[in-house]
Amino acid sequence: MPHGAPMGHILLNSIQVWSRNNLDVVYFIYGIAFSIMGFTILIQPKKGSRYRLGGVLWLLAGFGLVHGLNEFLDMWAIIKNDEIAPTAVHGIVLIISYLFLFEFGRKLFIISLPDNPVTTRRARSPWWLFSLACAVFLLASMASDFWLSGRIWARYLIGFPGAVLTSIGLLFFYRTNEIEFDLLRVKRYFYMASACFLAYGALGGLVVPRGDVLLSQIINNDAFLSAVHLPVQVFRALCALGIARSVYGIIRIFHWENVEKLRRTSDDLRMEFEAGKEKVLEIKRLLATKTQFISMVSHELRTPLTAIKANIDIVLKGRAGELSAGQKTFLDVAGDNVNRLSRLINDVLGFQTLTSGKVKYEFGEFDVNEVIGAAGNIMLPLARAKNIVFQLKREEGLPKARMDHDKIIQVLDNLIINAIRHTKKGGITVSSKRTGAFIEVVIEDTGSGIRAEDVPKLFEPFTQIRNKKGTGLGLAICREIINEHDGRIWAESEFGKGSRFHFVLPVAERREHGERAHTFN
Amino acid sequence: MAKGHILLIEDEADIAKPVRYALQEEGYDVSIALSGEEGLEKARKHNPDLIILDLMLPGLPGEEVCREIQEFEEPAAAPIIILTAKDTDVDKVICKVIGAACYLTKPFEMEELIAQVRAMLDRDKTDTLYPS
Repeated sequence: MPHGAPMGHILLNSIQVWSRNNLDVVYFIYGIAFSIMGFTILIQPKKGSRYRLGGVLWLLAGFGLVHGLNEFLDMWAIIKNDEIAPTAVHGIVLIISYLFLFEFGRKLFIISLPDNPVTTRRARSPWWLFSLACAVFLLASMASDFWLSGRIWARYLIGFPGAVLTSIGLLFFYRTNEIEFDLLRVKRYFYMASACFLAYGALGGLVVPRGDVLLSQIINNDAFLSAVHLPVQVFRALCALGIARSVYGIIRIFHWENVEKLRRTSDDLRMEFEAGKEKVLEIKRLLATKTQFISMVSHELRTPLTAIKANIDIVLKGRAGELSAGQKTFLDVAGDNVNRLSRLINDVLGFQTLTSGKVKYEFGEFDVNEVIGAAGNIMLPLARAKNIVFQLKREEGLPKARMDHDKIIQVLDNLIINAIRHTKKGGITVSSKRTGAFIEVVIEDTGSGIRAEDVPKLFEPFTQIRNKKGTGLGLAICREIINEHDGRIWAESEFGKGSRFHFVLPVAERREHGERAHTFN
Repeated sequence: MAKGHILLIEDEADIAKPVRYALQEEGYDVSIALSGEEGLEKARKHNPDLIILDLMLPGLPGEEVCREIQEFEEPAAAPIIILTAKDTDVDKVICKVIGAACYLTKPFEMEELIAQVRAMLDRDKTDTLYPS
C-alpha cells in the first residue's frame, strides 16, 4: 500500500476530529487574526499620505476589531456552553462589523473609480448603509427567531456584498497606482487580499447557520460540515489569517511613503545646509573684500590729498610770494576742505575698522568723572573761544564703570564738539549720575536743537542732520563704541531750544555673594 | 651755506616738489629719489644728514629701505623721518621697530614737517663742527 494515501487520510482525519472538538481554538485564531489586522491598520501612521486609501482604511480596522470581538463571543459561547452576552448584543456586534466591511468596500470603489459624477453620486450616497440595516431588521422580524434570522440576513445582505465589494475594490485600487505598487512589490498582497476576501465572502456570507430563511435551509454550516468534513469556521479562520497577512503587506505602502518622505526631507535639509554654508563662506569673502577695498581706497585717496595739501600749504604760508587778502581767503577754503576730506577718510576708515570687529577693546575700571574731566579740559578753550559757558556737574562718589578709557574719551570728545558746534549762545553742561546698575552721562546744550522726526536717524551712519560739513559718522561711531560696552546711547531734543545726549555705561561689577546683575530697561 | 643735506625718498612728484621747495626756502639742500632702490643708492653715495622717507613706494617697500639704511655702517646712518598713510597703533610700533626717528601721517602739515626737520638737524648741528 503506498505511503502517501493512508498518511494523508490519517492527517486529514486527525485535523477533522481536532477541529470539531476544539472549535473554540478555531474561533480564537479567527478572532485574533482580525483583531491584529485592525490594530496594525490603526497604528500605521497614514497622515498626509497621498494615497486615498489612507483615509478609508479605518473602516477595515473597524471591521477587523468588531468582527474579532464577534468571534471572541462565539468562542466564549463554546467554552462556557452558553452565551456570555445577550443574543441581541452578539447580533448587533455582527451586524455592525459587516456594516464596516460594506462601507469599506463601497469607499474602495469611490476612491478607485475616475470621478464620474453620475455613477459615483449614487455610489457616494450614505443611505446604502442605513437601507441595508433596515432591510436586515425588517426581514428578520418576519421570521420566527429574530436574532438568528437577523444574523443570517446580515450575512446575506451586508457581509457577502461587503466582502465581494472589498475584493473587487482592492483590485481596482491596485490598478490606480499599478506602477508604483509593482515597484514596491505589494502587487501580490493586493491579489492575495482580494482572493481571501472573496473566499471569506462566500464562506462567511453564504454559508450560514441553519435558520428560518429558505436559502439557509440548503446551504448552511451543517451541510458544509457533512460535505467537507471540516467546520466552515476553519476555512474562515484561514481566510482571516490570509486577510491579516495581506493587509499587513498592503499597509507597508504607507511605511515606504514615510521613509521616502523622510529621505527626501533629509536630502532637502542637507542641500539647504550646504547652500547655507556656501552663502556663509561667500559673505565672509565679500566682507574681507569690502574691508580690503575700503582700506586700499582710503590709503590711495590720501596720496593726492597729501599732494594738494602740501602745495596749498606752501602758498598759504607765503613761501611762494606775498598773498593778497582775497587769495588767502579762497585758499583757506580750499585748505579747510582738504582737512575735511582728510577727516572723512579717517572716519570712514575708523568706522570700517570698528565695524569689522577687528578693533580690540581694552576694558578696565575707570572713574567716569575723571574721564569727563579730561575731555572737558581739552574742550574748555574751544567753548571759551565761542563765548559759551561750559560746565561740569558730576555726582560725587560714583562707582567705577567698566570701559575702554580711550574710546570713551573719543565718545565724549565727539559729543562735546557737536554741542559746541551747534551752540551759538548759552552753555553746555556735562553731568554724571548713577542710574540703577549704570552710570549715566548727559551732554546738554542750548543750541539749535533737532527736529523730532530727525532724532531717530541721528545715530545712523552717513546721516548729517545738523552739521552739513561733517562726515555723518561721528555719532555712528559713538553708538558702535557704546554698544560694545553693553551700554546705550540716545538723544532728546527740542528744535530751537537745545538737545540732550545721554549714554550709560555699566558699573564695574564687584559681585557680592548672592547679588545678581540688573538689566537696564 | 646750506644748513644741511636732506634726502627725500618720495615717488609722488606732486608731493616731492612742494616739500623740496619749502625745505630749500628754509635753507636746506634737498635731493630727491623716486624709488627705494634709488634712495638707497643716493644715501650711500651722498651721505645725507637727514632722510625723509615715504613708506608707500613702488618696488622695494619703504620699511625695507628703512631697515637697510639702518644697516649702514660707514658712514653712520642718518635719522629718518617717515611719511605714512597708515596710522594705526600697529603701524606706529612698526615705525619704531624699523628705526625711524619719528613719523608723520599723510596728509601732513607742512609746518610740522619743517619743525621736525629743524629739530633734528639743528640738534645735530651742535654736534658737528663742519657740515658734511
